[in-house]
Amino acid sequence: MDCSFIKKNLFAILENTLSADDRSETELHLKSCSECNHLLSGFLETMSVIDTDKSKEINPFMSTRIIQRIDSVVSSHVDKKQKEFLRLLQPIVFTFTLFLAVLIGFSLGKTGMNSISGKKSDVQGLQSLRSELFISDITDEDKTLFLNP
Amino acid sequence: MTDHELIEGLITNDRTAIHTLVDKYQKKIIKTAYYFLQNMEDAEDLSQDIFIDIIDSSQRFRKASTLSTWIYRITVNKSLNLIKKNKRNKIFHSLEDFFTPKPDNNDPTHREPTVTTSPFEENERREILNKAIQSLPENQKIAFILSKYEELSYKEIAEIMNISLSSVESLLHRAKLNLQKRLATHFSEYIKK
Repeated sequence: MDCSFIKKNLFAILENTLSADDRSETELHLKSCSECNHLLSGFLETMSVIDTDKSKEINPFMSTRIIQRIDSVVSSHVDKKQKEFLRLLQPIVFTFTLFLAVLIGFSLGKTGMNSISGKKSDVQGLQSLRSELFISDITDEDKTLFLNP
Repeated sequence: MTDHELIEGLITNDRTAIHTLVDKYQKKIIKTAYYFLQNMEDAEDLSQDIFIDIIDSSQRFRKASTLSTWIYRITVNKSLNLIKKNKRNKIFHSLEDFFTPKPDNNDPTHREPTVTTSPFEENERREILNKAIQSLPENQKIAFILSKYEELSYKEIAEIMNISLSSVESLLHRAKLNLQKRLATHFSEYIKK
């Protein structure tokens, strides 16, 4: 066995997945090769950082920070939605008011026309009455003229 | 509270659901982000963004995968994005440093940072390992971290990465080969010195 086998099987040694023969040969080689010994110990120590990291505890107050951040974001979302709703509502209300105003204008106009046409008929009636009266006036006048010379 | 109830609660911004989500997943999210970023402050800050992302996109959660898998996926993606962003910032800062005048070394108040010469200091080992892991292709990096740090099964990794079991095996095998090659080169150089 040479040093290249160790270099190529560092993970297999770490995970203990070498065959029994390879394992015994590796052990023999490591006893005689200081370079491979250093290499393997360096590798194993470096990989032990993973276990140190795994046992690392997280900040116990982190959940409070997270909840606060979520609350602020959620409330800002709600505000945003409300603002968006108002922004959308504004033109709708404006259009509706305008439409209502036009509608009221039309209905008022219609009532006005009706009343004018009603008034017109009244005037016509009066005129015909007056003309009748006028005719009878004339006849009356004529009669008086005729009766009183 | 089941995952389904939790998701339904998150859609309606229910406070109980939000609290349950944070209690249940904060450790997992912060730790996974930390394994990728190798910086606890960054991981904690990122975890807040991840939770907000989960709540915001809860409507888009497809019940085909489990909630845990979905959360892992968001965490991994967000962590990788932050690494990319940090890299870009680093390049920008190095350019900025290049064009700004360097401090006068004759200044008596100026001190060079002390460098530890021992190769087995924990911080240095962490730096060596982190450099080696960060130099891996993205997929190999994800598979390696989820397998070695999170101790997830191949099946879980396959679901998170949306790949087949054999692809996970292959990615992990290649990741280990690359890592041991890089670490062996590093330590061999050190031994020669």
